Amino acid sequence: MKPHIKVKRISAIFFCLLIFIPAAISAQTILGQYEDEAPLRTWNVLGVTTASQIGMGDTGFASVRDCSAALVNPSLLTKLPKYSAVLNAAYTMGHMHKFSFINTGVLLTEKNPALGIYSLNYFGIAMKHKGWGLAASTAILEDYDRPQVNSEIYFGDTLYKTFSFKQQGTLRVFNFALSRRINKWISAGIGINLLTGSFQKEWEDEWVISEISISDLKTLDFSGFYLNGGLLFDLTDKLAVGAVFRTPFTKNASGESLSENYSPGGNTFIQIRVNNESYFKQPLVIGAGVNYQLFNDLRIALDMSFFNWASYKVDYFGENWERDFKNILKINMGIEYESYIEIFGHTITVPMWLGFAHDPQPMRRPNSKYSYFSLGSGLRGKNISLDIGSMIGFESGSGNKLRSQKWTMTLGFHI
Amino acid sequence: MKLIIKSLSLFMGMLVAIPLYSQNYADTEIISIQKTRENIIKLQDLHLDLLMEKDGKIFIVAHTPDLVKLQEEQILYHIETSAFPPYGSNSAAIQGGINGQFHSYQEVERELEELVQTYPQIARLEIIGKSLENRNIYALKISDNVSSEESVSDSEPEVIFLGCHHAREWISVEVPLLLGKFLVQNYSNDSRVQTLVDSSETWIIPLVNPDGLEYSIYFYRYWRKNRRNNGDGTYGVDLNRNYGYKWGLDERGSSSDTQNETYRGREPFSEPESQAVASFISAHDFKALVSYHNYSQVILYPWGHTSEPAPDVDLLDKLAGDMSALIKIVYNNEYPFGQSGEDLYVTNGTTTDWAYGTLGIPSFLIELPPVDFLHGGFFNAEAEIQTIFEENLPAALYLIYWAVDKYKPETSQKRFKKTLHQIHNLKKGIK
Repeated sequence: MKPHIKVKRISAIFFCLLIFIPAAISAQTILGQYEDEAPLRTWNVLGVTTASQIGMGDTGFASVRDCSAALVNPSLLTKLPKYSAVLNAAYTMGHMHKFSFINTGVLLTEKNPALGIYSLNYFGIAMKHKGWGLAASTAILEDYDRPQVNSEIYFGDTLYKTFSFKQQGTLRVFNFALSRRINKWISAGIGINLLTGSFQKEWEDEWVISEISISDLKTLDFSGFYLNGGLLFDLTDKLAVGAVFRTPFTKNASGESLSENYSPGGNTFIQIRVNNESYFKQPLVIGAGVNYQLFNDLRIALDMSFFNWASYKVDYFGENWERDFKNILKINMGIEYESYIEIFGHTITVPMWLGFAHDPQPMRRPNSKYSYFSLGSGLRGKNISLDIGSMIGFESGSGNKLRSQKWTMTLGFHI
Repeated sequence: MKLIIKSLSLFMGMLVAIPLYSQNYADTEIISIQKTRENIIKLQDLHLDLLMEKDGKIFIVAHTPDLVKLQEEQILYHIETSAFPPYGSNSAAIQGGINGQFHSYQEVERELEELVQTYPQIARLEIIGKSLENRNIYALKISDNVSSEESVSDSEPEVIFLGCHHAREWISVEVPLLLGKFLVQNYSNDSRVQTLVDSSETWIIPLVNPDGLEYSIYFYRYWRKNRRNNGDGTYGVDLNRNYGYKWGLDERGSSSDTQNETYRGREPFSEPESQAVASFISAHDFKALVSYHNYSQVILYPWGHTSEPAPDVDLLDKLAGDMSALIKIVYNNEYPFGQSGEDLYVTNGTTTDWAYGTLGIPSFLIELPPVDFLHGGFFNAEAEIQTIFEENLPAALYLIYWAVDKYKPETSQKRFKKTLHQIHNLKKGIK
């Protein structure tokens, strides 16, 4: 009798994390082969994006106006109010086709599995004093979760085998940034970023009748350090140009791998346990952006960023993994229109944003890229603001027509 | 009674002869000797490093010269090293990768390159082809004058050992790789190994399916096939059903269903891995072939596609029986032997049927331990690698010797002929 497989559940894992333990941010899926370390939704991650940035097509090199600038272009901290704080919540959803052994030979899905994650992904505070800006932030840069899989194989009505798969992980950053307004036209800023995070991937096969099981568990604990920085040139009252960089860095990971075979009938228990170091050499990123105030209530922004993915290297448990990556030029653009409303005698600014982003992915095969369309709006009072932004992405190149979304809500306080 | 005594004496003789081939791999072995009055007297003069006494046996830490002394003194010993696994062997991987002491593709590559660098006079590495994902398929040649083709110039017989057609059968990488290491590392200190290497050309392809092995290591341990994208959402062709002899003969011996574990591919030799192996074998003049697999602990010979006997069934059966007997001698593990299509299951498009059917090469598929799925299936403990190799070593050496004896008899030695004779008789005794 031929076995049939029921994929009982391919479901998203949802997280709600505490303020200081923010969870996932932007991302993409695995489109090349096998990459466990691919962040959800996109490989091209630089800092964290709040709702206004999302609404404006993920732009920000010359235009961010909250303390998340510390992670993107710290020189912009000199543009903030004297004291400010930001809390960002996000819902990130990514379709994926091939990941781990899903759709690579072991388990086949009819549709692209999707994963959605709710998170508080950024919290930061900033202050400004006599031309100096200072900020402290924590954010989740990358998320490595995958849809959880539980499958059951039946012979007739008899459950013959079960199969489960789970992968979770995040990369968190703690950022301390300092900026200085050098003169009327130029500001400079630099940030120190300390990384921490973890990764866990596990699967188990069990032959129900014989109680034989094989399982595999891999865990990694991340650490690392990098610098980011930027310049801001206020060329005119209306035109600002920003330049940013992120140093290449090594995402170190101390890991453990545990592979087991258990067969009570044969009194067999075989275990292979290995502890070893891994590392992921992340690329240099440089970028430039423009912010131009067309009219009093209308401005546009354009960013271009270069990711040196050709230099990306992975050493996984002592083995060098080939990643055939190419360098990437990412383009983001957005437009903001501001209107005003009166609420209880207070004038509230209501910005509205539209944006577009072209986000090519680094793997050569498939030559995959996302086109994002974004919009957003907010309510901005004297000391408090609430913004909402969303991006919807359409992937092309892989043949799998992946989709991705990101919704963010940003609560800001400023004095 | 006569038969028992005869068998016993042959067995004892074999114990003297065989351990030499199982112990030289490492510099130090733990051995046991029966605690008899006669042995105690002999041992007193040898000044060996006594470890302990247990169950009527004396355990000794012995170096290579000690073993030579024991043989000179006609003292029977049994290698017990595997019963004393090194501390932490399961936790600290020599290779360092997540497969512990088993080799990954990169580790095989490094190991082979290192062997060739260390022993350039007798070891040479060839890339015989590329896998689908562009990994190299390596063949290690071991012979004197290794850069010249002495199979042609000096009629040295060629013998080939293959590993890892099936990705999840990790132990099948280790045994041929260790065989290669054994031959090169013992060449200068064991005259018999030297004679063997000088008079033959041994080729070892330890990793036929590198893509599959990597997938098995990093993603799904039970992956069997190669990494062919079949275009319908399924992946993989069973490389040991993709050879061009009686390919696709029926649905019992292989499958046309792409998601089946024994999917044979679109056509014979549709896969670069099987193509590479077949082209390589066809370009040489191999006199014997062994393809390692696991599990089951059996030795199979052609035909696999039918239960009809092969034309040379007597020879194949004799060689398989001799190898089985030699394996049993080492750790008393039984490897039943027989015709593949008769004994285990019907197969078509296999390496052994192709090599025998097309080129007439006596070919054997050795299913390494464990004996069944309940005892680990495709899993072997790291500590078993060495013991499984050790018990298979005499059989592998025997096959090379057999080829030398048959095709280059002037270089085979009287002692060797005697050994063959002993093995043959021993097999009868066991039966």
